[in-house]
Amino acid sequence: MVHALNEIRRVLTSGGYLIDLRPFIAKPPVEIISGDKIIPAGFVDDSHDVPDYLAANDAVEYMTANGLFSHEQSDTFELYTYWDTITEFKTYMDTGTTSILPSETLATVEQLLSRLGSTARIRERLDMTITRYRKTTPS
Amino acid sequence: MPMRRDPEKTEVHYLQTFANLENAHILEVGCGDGRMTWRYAQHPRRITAIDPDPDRLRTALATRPQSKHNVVTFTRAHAETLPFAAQFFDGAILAWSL
Repeated sequence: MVHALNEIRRVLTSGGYLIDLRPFIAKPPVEIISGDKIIPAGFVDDSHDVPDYLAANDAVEYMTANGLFSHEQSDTFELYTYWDTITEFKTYMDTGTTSILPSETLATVEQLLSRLGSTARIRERLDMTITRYRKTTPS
Repeated sequence: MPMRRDPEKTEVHYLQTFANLENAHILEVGCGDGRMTWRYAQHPRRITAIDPDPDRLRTALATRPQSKHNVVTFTRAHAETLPFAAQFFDGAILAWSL
């Protein structure tokens, strides 16, 4: 990753910026939305992504510690993804992500959807981080 | 209705707040199928979006609007060996790709 960041830095103009936008690795909650109710249903297990997440943090830390980029601004926000049916949700969990859907979460989602009816929606909440770095020259 | 990621447009709001996109030449690293690219493509002067996965790039190209043909270029490339000259881009966006 450091090599990739060095390459990105090479192709940036003097004073150019880098935006790093990605989710925290933190077991994103799964919720059921029904009317104005938000009902917790469990979580998605993304813990196997922890090594990559930490490696990315280490790579940007290396670049800033060596004066190649300077940290300018960071923030966090919540990002929501919605599904209308359990089939769509399961299909995404099976094919569209490397995260794992625990069986307990799936069972709770199914129970809640069965109880709340077809207008209820499934929602995953991701905690996101965004940071801007500026290309700098080591002194 | 299929899966809907960020219908509130929070992600692109933060991206536009953090990145000076207006009239900029942007490198998007790890663009995938272009999902994020289309959300901010109306602002930069030019976007060069790269990804090593040819299948996802094919999807991105297939969904590229006609109006963006001269603005957005998709290229198969790895971040470790970028096929661009030095000091070529005003900004780089790594969305879900670092």
